[in-house]
Amino acid sequence: MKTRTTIIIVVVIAVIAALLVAGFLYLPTLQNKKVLVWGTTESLNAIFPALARTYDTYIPCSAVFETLTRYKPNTTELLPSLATEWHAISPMIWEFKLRSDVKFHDGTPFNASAVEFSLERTVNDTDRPFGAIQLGRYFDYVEVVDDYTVRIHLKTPGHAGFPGMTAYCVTAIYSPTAYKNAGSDYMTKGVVGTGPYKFVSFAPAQEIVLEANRNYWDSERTPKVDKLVFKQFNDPSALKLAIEKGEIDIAHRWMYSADVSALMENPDIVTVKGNDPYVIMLPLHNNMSYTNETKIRYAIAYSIDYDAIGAIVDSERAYGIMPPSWPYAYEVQRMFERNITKAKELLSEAGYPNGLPESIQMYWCPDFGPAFQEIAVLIQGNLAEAGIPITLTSVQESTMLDYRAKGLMHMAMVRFTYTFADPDYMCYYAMRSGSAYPKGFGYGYPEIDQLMDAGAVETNTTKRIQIYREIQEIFDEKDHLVYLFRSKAYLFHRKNVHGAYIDGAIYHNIAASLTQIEKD
Amino acid sequence: MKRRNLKRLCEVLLVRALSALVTVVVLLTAVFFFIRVLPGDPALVLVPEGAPESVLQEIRSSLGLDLPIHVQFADFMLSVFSGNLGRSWNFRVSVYALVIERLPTTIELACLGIVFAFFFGVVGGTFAAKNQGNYKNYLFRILTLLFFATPVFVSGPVLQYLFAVRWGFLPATGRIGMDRGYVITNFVPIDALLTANLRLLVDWSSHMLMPSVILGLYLSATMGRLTIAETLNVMKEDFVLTAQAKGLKDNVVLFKHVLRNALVPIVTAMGFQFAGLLSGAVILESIFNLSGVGSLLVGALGTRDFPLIQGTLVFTIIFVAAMSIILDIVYALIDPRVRR
Repeated sequence: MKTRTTIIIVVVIAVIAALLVAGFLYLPTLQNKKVLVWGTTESLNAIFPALARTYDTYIPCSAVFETLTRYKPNTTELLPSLATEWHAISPMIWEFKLRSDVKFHDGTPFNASAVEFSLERTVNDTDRPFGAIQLGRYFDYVEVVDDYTVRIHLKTPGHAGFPGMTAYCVTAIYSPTAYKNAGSDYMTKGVVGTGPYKFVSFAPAQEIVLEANRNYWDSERTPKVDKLVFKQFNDPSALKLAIEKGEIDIAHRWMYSADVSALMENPDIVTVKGNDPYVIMLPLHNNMSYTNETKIRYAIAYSIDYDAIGAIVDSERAYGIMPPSWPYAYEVQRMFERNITKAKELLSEAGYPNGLPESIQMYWCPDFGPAFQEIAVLIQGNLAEAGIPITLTSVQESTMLDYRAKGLMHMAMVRFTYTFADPDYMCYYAMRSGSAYPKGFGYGYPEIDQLMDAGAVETNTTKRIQIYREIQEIFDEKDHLVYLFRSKAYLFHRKNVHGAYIDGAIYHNIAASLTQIEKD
Repeated sequence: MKRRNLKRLCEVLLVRALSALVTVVVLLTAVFFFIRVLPGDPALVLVPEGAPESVLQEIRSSLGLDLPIHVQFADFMLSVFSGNLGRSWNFRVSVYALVIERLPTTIELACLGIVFAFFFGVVGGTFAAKNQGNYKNYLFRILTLLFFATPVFVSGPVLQYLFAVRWGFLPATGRIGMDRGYVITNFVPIDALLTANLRLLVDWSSHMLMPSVILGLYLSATMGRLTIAETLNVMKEDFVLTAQAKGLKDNVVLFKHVLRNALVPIVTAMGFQFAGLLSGAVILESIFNLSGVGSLLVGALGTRDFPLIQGTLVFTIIFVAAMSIILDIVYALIDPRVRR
């Protein structure tokens, strides 16, 4: 008995000792110079462009697949990619001349048939992928003119901004051969594009692994690392620890403010700062009590302490839905600053000198980031000071979308973003009668709809800019959306990594940096 | 074991298995209806801003959401019992493949957690009971109280910071930190042994050590307290006095006679703790970035991915029910009265 007990104790101690020794012997093998590990807290939901639903899924998708055009880094200017030139033949037809020297990763030649197959399959996918619905709003069909010329026919006249969509990865071109052979396994076996990286593996919501395409057609944009690994982190603090420890090379998207500050002070980490693609705003329901009165909507806008929001989250004031760097962005005529006296005066003029008699429910979503609760509480306090009591309700993003579709929310703190640099796309969802926000918050204006129709067919850039600025100016006067802020975006990388940047104009064009990133 | 006892044991296990089956069906029914009570239209999550109502209808129809609820329920039950869990709406891949891919991580963590919990709780508790009244007993009680009062979402980040970042002994995140090579079973230690990849085993051990010890310590608190109480009760029994009178050594009496009799309620408690262990594992998966079933489920809830939520819960419910049956077998092994 004694011997057996001794053996058990020795074995247990030996196992624990072995595990501890294992810990000491641990070598971070991911430090391999040729492998670049990109950590993110965004969901890696797909490796097929039309299914991508987060920015950090667009990035690996854009490394494997290419589009007909691409954005020049830090601008909204379009450059040739798989297409060498393009022009409108009529308001409903765009012609694209294609490159003749490109092959897919599986050796299939890139040509007009591949463009036809990819775009039409994306739009007609019975799964109705995310991107297909966006593309389907404009796209009708592809006409193959010759091996290297296609004409894209649109559903309705206009959409002068359509070429911008051909730089967005939902219009990516993929190998028809690989896709057809893969059948229902297209998510693993059909991931064959023309891009600078080739697909290796995908574990949903976990990891995407890519390797350099050494036969990439564009010699100026060949990859500088051998392997790219995208890793999803569910906890922002784990992402921070992983970059501190060197287990990953790049940390991107969503971290707690305290973690951001700590990383900025870390001498082993380099901080890249840019603008987040989201504008955070407060839509107010036009058919519900109180917020259906313009004066009360103005009072709400005057009550908010925008500077205090800036103290909670590193951000800049937002004045409209479009990023300020875009030429179509509205030039601000009127700017709300916190003015409680003015807010009370407006309430008084609206017939509520003692403040509103009942509270308004404000929805907010913790999925949007760690600072949102604090901002919601701040707004609650700000409005209470002016005499506008609100109750806060926290809901998941899926619930918020549902409530918005049903028009149930009195006011909500929401985020709004873009996918490609076209003003029609942004104005449509925020301002066009019957679309997402107007429907959800009960507003709509015929004069705006008419201007949007004019903007869609206007191919002269200067005139187009004027039209969309006018749309935003008219809409701004109505004050259905109180613009709160635009967050700063951060990308952190280890000191031995070079060339990573956040695009100043089109956020997901960060993917273009993948061929520039080097690792010592 | 006598033949009659074996027959009786088989009967008991059959009854337990049937009872587990009923439990699984009831739980699956509850899961099906509970997740549909949640607000949030799954179709809206799958489309971009402002998709037209016709597209939403088309998606609802393709997902079967436009069918009457009883038809959806019948489809779900038929799918479960035919082994087809459907396709994830969010990831567009088989739910079965997704869960099977993630399950080994959760099982590895849970099993290691149980091993550590047993070692700290039961072995430690037995020694503490033997040392009733002296400082070792008090020390053990204080430690168990500390482990119990410190939730894993507190101990996890603190120990992670200390051991991984501050002192650098252990990796901070992940299940492994190297290319794992050939995957046979998807259980890293088994694959490492089958492929004689010692480096992989060492790498996996160093990654799993911290989360499993944290989980084990948390669970060991209840087990330790229960072990002390049960051991002290059993120590008062006559057969223990007889064993001591026969001149058996203290440790023999303690582990062969006392602990074996004290184990039955402890094993029962372990069974109940298993569900709790899975909840703890969900949190630790997030803190240590282990891609297990827990994080998959949390993500699926956020996107209202019904097939994935259901599929994940089918596996966890079956897993817990299977553990319950295994525990029944363990009872029979440690307590002859059960066999009789």
